[in-house]
Amino acid sequence: MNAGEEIRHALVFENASSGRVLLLLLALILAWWWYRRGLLHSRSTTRRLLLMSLRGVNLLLLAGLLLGPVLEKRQLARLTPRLVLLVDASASMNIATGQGPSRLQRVQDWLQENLQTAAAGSGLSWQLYSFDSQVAPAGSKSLRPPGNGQGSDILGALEEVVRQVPAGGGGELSAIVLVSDGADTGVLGGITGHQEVPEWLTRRLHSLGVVVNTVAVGAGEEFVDLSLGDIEFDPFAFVRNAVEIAVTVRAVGTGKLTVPVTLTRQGRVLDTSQVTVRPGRSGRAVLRFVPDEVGKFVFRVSLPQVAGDAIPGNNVRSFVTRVVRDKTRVLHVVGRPSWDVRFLRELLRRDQSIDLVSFYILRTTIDAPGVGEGELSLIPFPVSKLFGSELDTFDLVILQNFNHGPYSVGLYLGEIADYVRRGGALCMIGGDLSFAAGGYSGTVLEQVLPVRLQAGNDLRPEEFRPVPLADNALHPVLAVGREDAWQHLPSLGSYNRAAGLADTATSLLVHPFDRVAGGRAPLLAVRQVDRGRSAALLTDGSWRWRLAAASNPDSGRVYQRFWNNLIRWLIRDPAMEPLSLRADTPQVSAGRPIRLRLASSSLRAGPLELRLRNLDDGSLREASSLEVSGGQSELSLPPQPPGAYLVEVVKKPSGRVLAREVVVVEAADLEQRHAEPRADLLEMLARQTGGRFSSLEDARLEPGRLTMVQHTRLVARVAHPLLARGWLLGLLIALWALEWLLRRRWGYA
Amino acid sequence: MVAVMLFLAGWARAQPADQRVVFGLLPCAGANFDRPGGIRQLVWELVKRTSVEADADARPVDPADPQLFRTPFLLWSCPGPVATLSERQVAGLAAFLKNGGFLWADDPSASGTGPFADSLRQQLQRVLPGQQWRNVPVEHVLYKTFFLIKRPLGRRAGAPRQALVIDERLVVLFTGGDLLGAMSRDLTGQWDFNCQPAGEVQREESFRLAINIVMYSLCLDYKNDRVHLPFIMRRRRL
Repeated sequence: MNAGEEIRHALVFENASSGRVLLLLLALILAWWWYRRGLLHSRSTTRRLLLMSLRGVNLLLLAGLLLGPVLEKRQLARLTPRLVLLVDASASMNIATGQGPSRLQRVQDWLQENLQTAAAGSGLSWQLYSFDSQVAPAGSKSLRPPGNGQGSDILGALEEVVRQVPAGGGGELSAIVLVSDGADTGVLGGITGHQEVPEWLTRRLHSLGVVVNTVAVGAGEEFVDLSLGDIEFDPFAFVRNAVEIAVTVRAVGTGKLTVPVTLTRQGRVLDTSQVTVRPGRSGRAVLRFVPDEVGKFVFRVSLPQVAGDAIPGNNVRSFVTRVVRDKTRVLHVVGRPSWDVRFLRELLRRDQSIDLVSFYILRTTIDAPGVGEGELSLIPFPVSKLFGSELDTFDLVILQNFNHGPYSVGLYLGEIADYVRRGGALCMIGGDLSFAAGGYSGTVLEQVLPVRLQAGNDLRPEEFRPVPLADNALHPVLAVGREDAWQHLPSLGSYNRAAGLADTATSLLVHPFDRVAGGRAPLLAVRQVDRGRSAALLTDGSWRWRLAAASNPDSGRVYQRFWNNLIRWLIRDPAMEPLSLRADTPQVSAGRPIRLRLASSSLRAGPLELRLRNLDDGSLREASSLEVSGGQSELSLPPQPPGAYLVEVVKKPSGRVLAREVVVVEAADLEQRHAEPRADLLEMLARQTGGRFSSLEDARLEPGRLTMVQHTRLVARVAHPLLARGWLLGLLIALWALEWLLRRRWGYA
Repeated sequence: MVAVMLFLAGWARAQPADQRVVFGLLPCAGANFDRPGGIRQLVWELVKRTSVEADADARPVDPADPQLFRTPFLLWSCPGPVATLSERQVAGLAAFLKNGGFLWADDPSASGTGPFADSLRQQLQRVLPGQQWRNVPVEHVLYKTFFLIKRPLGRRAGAPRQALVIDERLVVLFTGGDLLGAMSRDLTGQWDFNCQPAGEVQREESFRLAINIVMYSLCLDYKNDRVHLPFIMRRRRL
């Protein structure tokens, strides 16, 4: 016998197969049982026992004759153990604690030393793999895990390796050596090595069929990390409705801590909450805020850094939420009931998306109802509430033929102007109590109107039909149906003659002949005022467009469409924007391009520029010319570092922003949140699979330091039948004959 | 009184048309509308008591004329039967009512029945076929659009008040108690009719109801807004 060989003996049955043996045993038991039943009435116990013993021996001999027992001598050759070295290449391996090298660097040093030893005649055959969320083969000589993987699926990697290795040939796997920090982001992440191993995990580990030796990286390091875990947020929120964001905070390697969790938007602190966390456990904080404007915004949750914080990057996370309206809240203030009021009220009331709050002046200070207040249905005009504390709850304020003077609203004109600049919307509708006739000339409210006002009474009684200003005929507010719809509407009976158009305002409908400074007298003008919008409809006769629908079918639903358009434009409904920019996904992984879709409707915008700005530091990252030809187009911006970004489509050379979108580029977030070394998990894996656990410092790729299965190859085989068939057959016949004779003699049937 | 009339006429000319309530008169079959003094007095009281502006003179309108749509408030009140409408007039009036116009029919006979009421129902059956007359209960917003009215009256108490309704909006209101008669005054300032049975109290109630009708045509269900309800409920209990 040579070295590396061994002899093994084994009892085998030549004719046996599991099914056949089972059937045979069943038949023998039945036969013996039947035979015993027939002897139960025997008076002589001695004779009965003798006969039963004889029959039992006979049956066993018969079984031996049929199965053919053989003593086998095998000469086996021991195979070179085939092992897989599986090294963690995820991003958590790049973490360094203190001033020392990173986990990955330590692994690479260890590999350099141990792979040389392993290659220098340890008698082991190695196959090298790295893994993160997937498994990658790495040849057989060297292994340089990249350490940037966006996940660590240890169990998945073990199962994948077992699947891959037999396909490579070379016999069965003797063992796997897993080198990892144990910071699993897969199914093992929630399992601690000290608890009872779940049944499903035991089953999956046993089904691997291979021993797993585990080598823990960073097991002894003093890992200190305060991190944000899961953030529960809704991608949609309703404006002026409280929003709750639940944040999980985790501390590792610290004592009991109480830290502030802060929610910010564009640097503005929205809420702060104190959370207490105990070492190795999670704390939960709930942050609340009330969004005050619609749109898509980047919110940031942050924690302070603790001393020695290994991963400062996981103390901050950003997310995108779109703030939408549940209902458009409209304040409708009217100076006098009129037909214009009646038809606009009907439109507003019928719109299920509008929450209407109305205040009409039914009696002025000089009117005398002639009865006491108790016989009137009139209520006080809550000026300070509406234009003070409640003003920001409205999406749109409509002042319809309303003179502010008699009701002390003049005290709040500054509030209304600020409300518009902050993002609110204002629509002033004409009449003999509005614009200059309503005393707004020279007020702070005039500064946010789209028109400049005359002094004194500006009302002009005159029948005329307004016309769209050609340059702005495609403005979405004027999209009421047919292009010539405005020509078929009935004439208006009066208008408030403005002094001119305000800077940055856009005139949409104008008087057909009357000219004021800067062009034709505006009848409808709109304006973007800082973050808000305003509109001026300088007539009280738009109701004619509604009732006229009865006499002129061409008018159709112009009145309804016009007001719907104007309201939606004022409240910045994205559908009313000439350009819309949408990111494919609001959260983009680092290293991936930012993909967007640009949709334009009948735009004659001229030269445009696409700009990408970092919201964290305000820096301009990209700026490129853009061609818009209507319809939809796809845009792609190069990968960006982690952070929050604003993408804008800007009109050149004015710099006016036509569309914007926000995106968050996420870091290797999952890996950063699960970066704690998990020696307990690795120890449990080794225990469950029969392998050996060791720290990186103690681990060696040598046979004596690893647990493995020694696989062998059969060199020679010698079989010695235990029962010669000839004499076995003779003995069987003789015993049968003896049994038969005894039965005859003792009188059994 | 003459001075008042001159003031109203001059004031009306100074106001823009779209801010004024102008009563459009629908045609009668025989004798014409005979309550102009009622309209003038209603406008006088309306302007004096409320912020609403109105034109003192009612304007005859032809339901077939597109000018119909410049006068969203129509009045139909005849000493005898109303005029039989042509098909064009029927179509015009139907379009007017369905698209937001308002028609007040006041019965000068103060009975709620008779030639005016019968002919009115007959013509409106052609205008809005299938629509059923409904009583207007005292809980309706009509009775709280400006005054809180507990006893809707007219020149004669007890007459019906009914309406044709589209989408919960009163498009035609029929008052059978001769409201205009209760308000009618001659140029010397004398009331044209006595109110039965409660006299001047009943006349005041009639003014209030008429003003509420005008206010309803302009404000619809404004007083049903939830902001008003606590105040109105409290005053109703007083």
